[in-house]
Amino acid sequence: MAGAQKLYPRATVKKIVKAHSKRNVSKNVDVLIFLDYALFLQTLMKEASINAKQAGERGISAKSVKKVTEVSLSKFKG
Amino acid sequence: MSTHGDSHGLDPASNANTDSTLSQQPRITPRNSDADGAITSEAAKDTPYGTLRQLANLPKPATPLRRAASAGPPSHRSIRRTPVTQARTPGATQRLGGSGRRANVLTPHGRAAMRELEARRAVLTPGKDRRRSGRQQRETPRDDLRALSRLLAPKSQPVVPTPPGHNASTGKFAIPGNDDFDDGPDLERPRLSLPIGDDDEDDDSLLLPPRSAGLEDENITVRSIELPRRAISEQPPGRLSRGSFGSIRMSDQFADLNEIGLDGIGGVFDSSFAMGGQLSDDDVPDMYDDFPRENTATLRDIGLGRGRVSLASGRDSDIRPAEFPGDDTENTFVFTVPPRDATDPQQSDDAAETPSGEIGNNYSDQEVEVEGEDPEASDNPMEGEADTSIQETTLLDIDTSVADTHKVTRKKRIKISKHGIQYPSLPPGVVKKLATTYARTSGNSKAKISKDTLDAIIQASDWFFEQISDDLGAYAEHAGRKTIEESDVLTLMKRQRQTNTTTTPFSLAQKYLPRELLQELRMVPPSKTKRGRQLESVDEVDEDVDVDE
Repeated sequence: MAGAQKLYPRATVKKIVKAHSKRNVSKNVDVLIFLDYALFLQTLMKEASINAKQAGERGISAKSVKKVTEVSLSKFKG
Repeated sequence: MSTHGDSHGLDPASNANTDSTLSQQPRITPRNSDADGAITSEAAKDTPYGTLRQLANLPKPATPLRRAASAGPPSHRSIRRTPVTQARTPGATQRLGGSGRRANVLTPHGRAAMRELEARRAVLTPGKDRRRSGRQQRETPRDDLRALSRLLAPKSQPVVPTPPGHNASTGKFAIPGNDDFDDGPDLERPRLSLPIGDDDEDDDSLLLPPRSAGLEDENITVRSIELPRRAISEQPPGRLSRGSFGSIRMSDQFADLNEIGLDGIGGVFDSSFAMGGQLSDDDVPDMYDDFPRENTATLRDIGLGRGRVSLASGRDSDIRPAEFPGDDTENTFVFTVPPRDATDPQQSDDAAETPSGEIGNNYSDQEVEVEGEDPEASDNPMEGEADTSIQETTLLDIDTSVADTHKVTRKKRIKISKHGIQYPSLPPGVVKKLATTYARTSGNSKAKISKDTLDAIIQASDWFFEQISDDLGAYAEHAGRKTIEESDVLTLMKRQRQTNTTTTPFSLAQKYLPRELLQELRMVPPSKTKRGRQLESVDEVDEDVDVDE
């Protein structure tokens, strides 16, 4: 149970996907999508923290996040 | 044979002689005058006993006679068998070398040593092959050929290789009928291509890597394809405004050309652009009738048209008084219109302060941005010029700062997908909480996520949602559906390699999702009963959840 304990705005996720794909989204898909998003965010943060450590930063800077964004996105290409 | 016969003949003769000498002694014939006959005659002359002894001894001196009668050199075996004679004839031993001495070495060690010596000699002797019969060497075909060459040498001429250029003419046309020479050019033809002569240059020119004319320098605009521009209403006020990762194009940054190139080019362009813009400005109502939006006669729409049409019309605000004195086109100085400068900030102020229409907002952002950058671009010519313009720039700076804050807030609220649908992004609080959690789990124990980091994460999230939404839409379309279903997401996760045989989506869900969402997921199975694996995993999830509860 390492994940989020709080409910996310389900309608928002649905809206986002619907706007991008121009398709209807069935009822419970947003849960799975949010799950995928959680996985992505985990990957992103992991990569970013690795990058930040390699760069010798304390914490995670925006630069390291931006650096690993592309890699993480390419990992989550369907 | 003759000697043999003689010896045989001698013996009866000698016997007869002895017999005869017994009868008549002094009769020595010249036929008996050889040594033996003399000796025997003399011996026979002494005593009969001596004669008998001589007769008995006859075989002994006959040994050399027999050897002479064998009609050849003495065989080695006989010599070896008789060490006495061997010792007596040192020349024979010398001629035979070690082989003769080998018989003397009788100990087995000696024999072994001899054998060793023989083997070594056989190996080491350089001339051991020398004493072959010369017959084969003499009769090789090479010798025949050499003999032939010697015969032919005075008549034949040395072959002069024809130069490659003339080969075709001489070979083919000069001697067409001669069969022997027909092969000549055919054999030499490879020669023509092989030597690095004239053909090589052609080959080099063919093999040269294609030289791109303008691509060596790092000019991005050469490489990029100019894509259709978006309308101003959709145009990004900032760089990362639109969500798509791949949709940041050069053509979208049309209005930013001030930053990129034109500063360094110089005042000529600026002046000309400004002049054009100014002309259009000053003839305002007539000129803008030609624009696509003809019937919009309000000042704001004019400004919008200007912003959309060209860079020049957007830039003209405050360069004008500064630049035109230095230019050739002095008559355009007539057109410097202070009222326009006065109206422009007002206009932008109005637009910035009234959040009424989207179009107005966009226009104002555009306008203010451009105007705010122009003073810096044209700083140098402005130095000696009017103070009023400087004051105006300060004014404008204030205005731009106001407009910038406005812009930022607006950018966060409204994003429009490529299908023209507005969409929100996830609330920053949720993203921050999730990101903090995952940063903590990934090792950064006291990760503090700053504002910039959060912005970057949100940006990445937007791109992520756009990406997976495209993918999901593609999957649904491939399945012939209009709706994105769970199977699409499951396929997506499988293709993302997030799920495999060991990690089912439901185990992931149980790991990452809160309890309430798991309960939502439990409603999935009735629609998914087609596949056994998913059913099993769903059952597992249910059991686990039950256990947990």
